[in-house]
Amino acid sequence: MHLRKREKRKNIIGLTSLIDVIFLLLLFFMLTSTFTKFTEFDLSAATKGQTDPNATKPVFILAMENGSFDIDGTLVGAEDLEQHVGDLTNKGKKSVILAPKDKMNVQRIVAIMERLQKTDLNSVSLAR
Amino acid sequence: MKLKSQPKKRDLPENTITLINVVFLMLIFFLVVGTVATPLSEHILPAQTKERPIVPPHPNIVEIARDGKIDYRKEPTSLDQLIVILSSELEGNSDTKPVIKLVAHKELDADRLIEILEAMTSGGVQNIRLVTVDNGADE
Repeated sequence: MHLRKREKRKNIIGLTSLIDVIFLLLLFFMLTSTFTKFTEFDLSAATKGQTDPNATKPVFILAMENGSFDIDGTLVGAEDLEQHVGDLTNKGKKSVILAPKDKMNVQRIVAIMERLQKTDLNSVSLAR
Repeated sequence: MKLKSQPKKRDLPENTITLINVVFLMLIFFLVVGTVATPLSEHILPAQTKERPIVPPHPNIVEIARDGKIDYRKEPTSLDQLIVILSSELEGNSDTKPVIKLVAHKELDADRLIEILEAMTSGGVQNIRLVTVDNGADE
């Protein structure tokens, strides 16, 4: 009598260890992943020193406590910042120095910088 | 001759394959979605932005706490020390444009941030970036 059928299809080799490894990997990635979405800004400080004589004079923006701005001496309301800066960039001004006039936290400066980044300005530097 | 039914080989529990499938899917999910990086200190809440492009996390970050204290690589540092450390690191670095990243608590006084920035710039540290967090969906 032929008892051929004895041979059973063997299970895939080492399935258990495979699962072990996958679980370990899963745990590793679950614990180490960060989901925070980071963004960033270029920061530069307006410092005294060598100035390029060919460079156009930067626009000076003072940010005030109540949300309005003083752009080179002109008082500008909180909403009109982009429009005003847009006018200036059309006239060839490409760099801005931003300074908080009153005490202000980083979040507000960042919000203003984000608005300025959307204009055609090339550089925004910070000053006190 | 009595043919005893083949002794059953001890099988894996029935739903193992499904289990592996699910675990595999989760693994792939975390591989794709997450990025591996050292997290920021918990007391640092970066400022939020709405429409800035997303950048990957950076391993070496200068952290500025709410009270203006500076941490570099999780160690408290004074401003002068920081500049010394950074400039020596920059000298040893052959990268064309090494970038220094700062992260500041969102309620930190902006004057302090600018003070640190000015000190770093005059200390010869270039290419400074401020790290913020995207908050796009909110509001």
